[in-house]
Amino acid sequence: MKRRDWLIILVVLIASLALYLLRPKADTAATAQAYLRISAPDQQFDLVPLTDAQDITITQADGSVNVVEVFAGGFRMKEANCTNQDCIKQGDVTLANMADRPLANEVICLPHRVVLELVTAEDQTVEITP
Amino acid sequence: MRKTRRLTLAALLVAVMMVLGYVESMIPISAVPGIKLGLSNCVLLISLYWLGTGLSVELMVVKVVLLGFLFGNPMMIAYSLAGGALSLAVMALLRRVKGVGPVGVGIAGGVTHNIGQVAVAVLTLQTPSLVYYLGLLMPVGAGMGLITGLVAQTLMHTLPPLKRLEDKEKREETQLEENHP
Repeated sequence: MKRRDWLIILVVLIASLALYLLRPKADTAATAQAYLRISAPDQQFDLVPLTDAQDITITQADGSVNVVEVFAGGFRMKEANCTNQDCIKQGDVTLANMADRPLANEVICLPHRVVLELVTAEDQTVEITP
Repeated sequence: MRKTRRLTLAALLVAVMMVLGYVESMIPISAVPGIKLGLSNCVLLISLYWLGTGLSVELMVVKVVLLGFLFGNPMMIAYSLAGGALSLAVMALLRRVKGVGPVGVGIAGGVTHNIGQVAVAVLTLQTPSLVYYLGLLMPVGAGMGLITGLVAQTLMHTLPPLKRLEDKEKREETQLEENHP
């Protein structure tokens, strides 16, 4: 290890720490009404209130299919016909756990470009306080 | 170094990257997208020192495309290509900076690979908040880069150095000249 190697490590750690501290904190006013916002290429979805259990299927022209399972207070990706299945492993998103998840309020399927977000106000993303 | 030898070495390194990519595709590291061992980065690091920037760029593209078709999909090729290009550019520059060894180059390569991928994700998914995700990805990328850098450093010390090969070639050539004046 040379001298400037340590400098590189230091810079990376400081930058990471800065991003971590600056990261928007979800304002979990626990009683807030939570919604699911689905984004997929070339498709529009209404906000889904997280009240009743239901499955939502997102089908795209290229044959990609994602199934979202909605339950009271949260959601998760249940099925996806992609190769890496990362989105399924990302697990549940609820108001309670979204502050601790690495991806916060999101579930992301990179190969299908599908993003699931937990939002609290009708048209807004989660209120953020820096 | 002779052209054939460079080509053979490059082909050999591609083969090694294929195997490492296959092994890596079987290890489920975590549910968090973007986190992986990056074993092939180790090979790229060595090729950067041994074969230079030009061939390393070719190696990177070949690796990304082949691995993408074998174990991924077209979308993932775009992510890997962005990460790979940025990471290789930074590594090629840092290699020339005095006081930075293979370990530092490896760390910078790992971290910038993450930055490139997140940049593509932000653009294609239109979710700028993903930038904060780098706060988690970068230390992990640095850790993986540290490992690959150390491995590359050790390998370059241990493997028969190209210097020796070149010296041998020179000796052979001078011998040839002596025999056939």
